[in-house]
Amino acid sequence: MTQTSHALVIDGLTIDRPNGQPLLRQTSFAIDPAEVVLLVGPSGSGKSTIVKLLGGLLENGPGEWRVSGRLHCGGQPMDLATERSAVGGIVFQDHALFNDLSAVENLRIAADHAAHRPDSVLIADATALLDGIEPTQTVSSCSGGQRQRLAIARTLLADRPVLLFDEPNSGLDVAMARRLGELIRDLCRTMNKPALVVAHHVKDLLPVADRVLLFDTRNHRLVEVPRDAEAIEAALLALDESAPPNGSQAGLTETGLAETGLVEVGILRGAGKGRDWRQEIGHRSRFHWFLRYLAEYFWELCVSPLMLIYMGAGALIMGFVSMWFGFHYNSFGGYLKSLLHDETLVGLGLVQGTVAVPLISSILFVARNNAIIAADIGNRVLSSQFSAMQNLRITARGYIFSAILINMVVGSLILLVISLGMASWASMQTWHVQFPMQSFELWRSHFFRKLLPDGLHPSFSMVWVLLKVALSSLLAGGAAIVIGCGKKESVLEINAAIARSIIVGVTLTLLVHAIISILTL
Amino acid sequence: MTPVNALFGKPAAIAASLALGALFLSAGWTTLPTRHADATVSYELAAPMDGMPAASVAAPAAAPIPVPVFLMQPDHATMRSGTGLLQPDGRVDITLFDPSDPRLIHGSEALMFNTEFRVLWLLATDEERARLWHGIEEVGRGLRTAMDGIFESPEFTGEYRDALQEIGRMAIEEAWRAPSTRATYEEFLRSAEPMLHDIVGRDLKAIAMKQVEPLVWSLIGANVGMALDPFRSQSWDLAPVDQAIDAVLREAREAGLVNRAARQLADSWQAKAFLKTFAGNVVDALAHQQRLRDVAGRMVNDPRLAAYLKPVSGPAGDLARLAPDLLFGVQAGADLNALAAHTFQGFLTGRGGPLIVMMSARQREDILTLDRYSPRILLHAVPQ
Repeated sequence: MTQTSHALVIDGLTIDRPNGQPLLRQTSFAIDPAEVVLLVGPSGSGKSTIVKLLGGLLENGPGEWRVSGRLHCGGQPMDLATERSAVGGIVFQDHALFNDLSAVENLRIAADHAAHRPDSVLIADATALLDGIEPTQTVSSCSGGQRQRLAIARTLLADRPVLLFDEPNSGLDVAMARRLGELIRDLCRTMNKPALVVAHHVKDLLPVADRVLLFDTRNHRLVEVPRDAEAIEAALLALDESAPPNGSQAGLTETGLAETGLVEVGILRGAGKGRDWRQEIGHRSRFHWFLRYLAEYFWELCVSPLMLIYMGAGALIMGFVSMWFGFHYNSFGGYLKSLLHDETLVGLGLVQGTVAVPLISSILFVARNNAIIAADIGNRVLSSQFSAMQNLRITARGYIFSAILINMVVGSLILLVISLGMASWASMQTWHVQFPMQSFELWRSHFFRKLLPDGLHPSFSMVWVLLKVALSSLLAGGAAIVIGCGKKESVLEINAAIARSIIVGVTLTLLVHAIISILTL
Repeated sequence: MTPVNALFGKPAAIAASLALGALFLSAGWTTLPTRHADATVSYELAAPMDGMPAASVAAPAAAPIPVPVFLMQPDHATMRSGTGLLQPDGRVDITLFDPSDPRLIHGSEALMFNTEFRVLWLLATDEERARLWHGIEEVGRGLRTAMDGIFESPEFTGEYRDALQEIGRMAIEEAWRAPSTRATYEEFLRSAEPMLHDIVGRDLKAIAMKQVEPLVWSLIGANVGMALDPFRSQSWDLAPVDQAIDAVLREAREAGLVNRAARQLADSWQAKAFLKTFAGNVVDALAHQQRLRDVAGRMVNDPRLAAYLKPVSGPAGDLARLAPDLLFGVQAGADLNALAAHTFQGFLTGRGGPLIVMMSARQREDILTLDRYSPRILLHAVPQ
């Protein structure tokens, strides 16, 4: 079993906000192994900042948070001004589960990216929490309690020396919150790890806390207070006179009571025996995860049935419109369609193959996928999934961003070929409606005269077509990632990011197509 | 999650994607040109007909050249039905687009043409050609009526005729005085003398000599009495000489001697050079005449003269609509006239080349009746 018996010692911690305002001044505290410390304080006081600092998620440097102080947790002491702490495994307030992965994959990816390969005891401890959860179950199908346990198990598998819980009882009713507290206490004792629990509503967690630290926002210090609810409330009221004196938990939701599943979690090791999670978790290489994300985004961005129907329909319409209106609404319309037929077909083939279909294909592809990317990335930002990935040492750039960009390029080219095929077919059928007595081969010989000069090999101009389609998709995908990665505080901001991503992506697409088309005239 | 995914699970969604991808790609695949298809039927060029002008036949090139192949249907509508390869030895291997097309039953015979508008005329039906002729005649009649009307109109005779005659006269005089005209004229005269000498010495002498002997006897007969009278006071009777000269002139005229001489003179390069130079100088003189431009401008803009063009405007408009309609098939909603499209393209690009039209034996005979020379007959050959 991977167990640490290191105490967490923070010495002389000073944190300044990005705006220069002080958060903490020369604060020191320690948490012993198997000790559960409750960190309480007014809303917005900065409790979660300390969790982020210990979990290595606080951005410090010029224009960011400024941190100084030292951290001891086994091994060499760490200078927090220059080094990023990696001691804390965080259980996020909103769980931050990877909702594109199944339950077991959430655990598997954490185990595969842990600093040390989790041993069977650690896996057993972590998976003991998962009774009632199917390994292949999707995150979205899990209840609130199941997600909570899944998030804790995932953090345990990361095997960090310190457990950090960011408001774990937020949104839970009294019974659930107390059971969760018991679970945390049992975990710490079983794994002999120190735990820092940030809590806004303290009553339910007090019974399991060994000590309580109060965030003194006036003096910018952490001070230890008695494990007494009234004393803590009084101290909090003193710090924030605008806060309601009582009933701060009155707003706790009643929802989820029936589906908590926490009732069984009091017993570790031996729970969840109904399914062998150890075998399910197994071990996968990083290349496996790269391929996993590559396949996931390939499916979502390129070849899902709706995507194919959407692109195919666009190409069908493009092929019909260019052929029908090309013959009917040019100069003198139908009167010259017979006389100018051959050259009209050659021209339509060239324009359709090198300009119209690539452009429509790119616009449809980028518009749809930029929306998906911005929504996906925005959701990951809003639900702290990227933070969780960072805390679990999973490189989002290596997996998600590269998978998106590769699929944007490859998918755009695959769908270009499909679109060209569909548009050509629609054009051929539309032409046959207009000239029913003629053989299809006549259409073939003229339509592809400049695209396939020898009837087999594409002309060199198709290289430029591939370039503009691939480049526009790459740039648009990059823009969607950048926009999606922006700060997200609400779903509304994700919606705005989606709209912005579509506009920027389509504009970039139009520009790339226009510039390359003009350059290759 | 897509609806397919939600309803039937991921495997069903993957299967749906694979099916859609295969469907789309196979649809696209069907649009690609057929490549490397074997020749369906072969022909070889028949020997050129006697009297066929060399320029009117499509001679086989040094390397195989692709030739479009059309099928003429019973109603004379043409459709593109394949591609041929004209080999240097005159062999034509034809790959039909669709050998199973039942319409090919009307295409047992084949003719090869040069790509030119005349082909459209030859391939038109008798009724279409009759309608076109009628239209052309109507235009001709209208044109004559219009020109007669203009030339006899008081507006023309009163304002333009004298001026145009004066301009013409001045241009001819100016051209005649031009040094280049004089030089070529002198050269023409110099070349004419030996030709006339030759005609007189050979043809006219023979005719004259035929009259000399009768003339001698006639003169003797007419003057024998006076020759024996030593005191004669009357002059000689020379009437036989006049008769002989008349006879010589009559015989020369009957023999076409004058016409032949004139033709011989006109055929000489000196005569052609003179006429070309003279005509060119007349045109130059006309072109430099500011008066002509003024008069012509006034005529064109004279609404009184325009009224006389009415007889031609109607038939010309009818013909302008009828000809493309019949020859090119340019009607709204009409199916493609592939031959017209190909011909028009060849006309515009100047790259006509040969084309092959497959037809029934009856249609081939009808076309050869119209024109024995421009189409080349293709004989059936064994495919290789």
